[in-house]
Amino acid sequence: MKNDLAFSSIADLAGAIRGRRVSCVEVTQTALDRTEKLDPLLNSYITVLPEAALSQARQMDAELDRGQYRGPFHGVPISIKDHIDTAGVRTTAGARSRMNNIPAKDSCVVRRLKRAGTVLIGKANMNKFAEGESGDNPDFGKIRNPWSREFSPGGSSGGSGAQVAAGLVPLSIGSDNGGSIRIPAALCGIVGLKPTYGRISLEGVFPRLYSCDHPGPMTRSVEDCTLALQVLAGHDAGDTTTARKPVPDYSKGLRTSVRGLRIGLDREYASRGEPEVLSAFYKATDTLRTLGADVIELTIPPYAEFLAIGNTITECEWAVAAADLYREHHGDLNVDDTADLKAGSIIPAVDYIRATQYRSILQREYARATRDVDVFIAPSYPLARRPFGEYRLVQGRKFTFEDAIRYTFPFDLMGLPAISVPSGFSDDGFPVGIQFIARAFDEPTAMRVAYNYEQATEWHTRRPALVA
Amino acid sequence: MKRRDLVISLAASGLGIAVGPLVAAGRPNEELSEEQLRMILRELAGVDLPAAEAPKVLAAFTLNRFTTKVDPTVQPQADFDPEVEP
Repeated sequence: MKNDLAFSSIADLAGAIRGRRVSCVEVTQTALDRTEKLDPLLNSYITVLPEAALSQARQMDAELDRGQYRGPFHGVPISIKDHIDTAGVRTTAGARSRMNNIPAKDSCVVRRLKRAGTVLIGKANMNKFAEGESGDNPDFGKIRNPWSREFSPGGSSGGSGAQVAAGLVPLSIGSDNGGSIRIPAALCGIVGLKPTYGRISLEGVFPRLYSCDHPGPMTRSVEDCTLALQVLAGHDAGDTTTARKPVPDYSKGLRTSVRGLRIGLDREYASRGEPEVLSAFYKATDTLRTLGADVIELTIPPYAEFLAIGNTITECEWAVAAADLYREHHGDLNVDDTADLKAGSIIPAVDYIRATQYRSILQREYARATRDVDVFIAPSYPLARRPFGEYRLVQGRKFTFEDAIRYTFPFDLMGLPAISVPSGFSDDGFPVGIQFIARAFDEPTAMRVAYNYEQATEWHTRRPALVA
Repeated sequence: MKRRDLVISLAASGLGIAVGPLVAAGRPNEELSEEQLRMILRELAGVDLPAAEAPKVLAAFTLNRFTTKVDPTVQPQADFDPEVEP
């Protein structure tokens, strides 16, 4: 029963809680028991909140006793990446120097999740200051991948990915500015959604890159992801970048067939992954054709151009975001972050403005290249397994961080919605992922294709041996 | 160092900062020396540059500049908008 609860979908949990077949306290206690047993192996939490979580769960049960039901997240345990503000709970951004940073108020994301009735189990470990995808935090230690503790779950939302894959929580909130939701989703065999820029509020989220930061849900199924987005999406007066567009019903149309949908594929862009990743990717295109979708080859702007503007934009935005941090805790930044901050602080404003002009050009070129398709697809991450430390050679050449974010970073720069779902396993049992990328604010189409693909495969039903 | 000397030094290094006739310079800064970099950082950002950090900062600065010519009529996005017309 406890394993059933741990790996239940949010929809199933909601049914069981609403039907009083299980109490919110039982569900929360299961999450806490699994955390106590498994987190010493995974190191996925920076802070666990057993007393507060049980108290919240009791309150949720009391509301049910009074006939009050908040919706599908009533009594559902969750975790939050530790750079998203939680009132009264320390929020470190992965830095030990911020152990005493206790926000006075919740971030918008946390406010909405609390209003929906979720129970906060704890704050997830992450790459320090959301930098990189190594899953290795110098202050709080390496986060371990549940599929093999010798490898990284990816980052920067690595703790979130490990927790969802290990059945510690059915939902964790991560963030993505270069791939930080989708990369750990791929490496942990779960679902991760980077929404459209402006769809989910950034208020109360530690800023890394102002124009590329995206908070988003990480779950074990696409359906759970739609439920989470329903709670999180929408305009927030506290974040001027949030869109005023109406929030659609994300569950509506999710199960509609993809027959006749057009799916774009750029073979050159997709070609830089490990053979196991590419093999799974091309098998996925066969599955999509079997489902009735048309897979159409096209050419998007070269990655090198995204990287050129991305380097300038990220360097300059980080220099601004981290200026106070540097003044107050400059010893806390690693050598690369320090070099980036200093370089970013003297890059001429004309370079930054030109880079944003060129971003507009790339957005239009990408829109033109994909105008005849409903979604674009790409692998989520070029590697089937992410070692701690140095990368291995890929296709006989040295692999770099810029290679690691090849499939994800352009969609942060363009602010487009992208969802990663499991697309297979390597021969030695590591999950790999595929992304479905839609037009701005068209999460419904990305999630519809992802759902149909997910349901046609069995990858999302596998569990790591460590946690079974 | 006086600001005028800094401007002259920046011009010599090829940095296209927005200072009157020097704007057009704007070419990559291969010749930027460690001492010039230290001075620029101190003047423009108010931070020091320990000798051990200099190679990484210089490399990051060189790599991350964007000097490509862009059609000046393209409107920069002061407020990033993910929605565009093809």
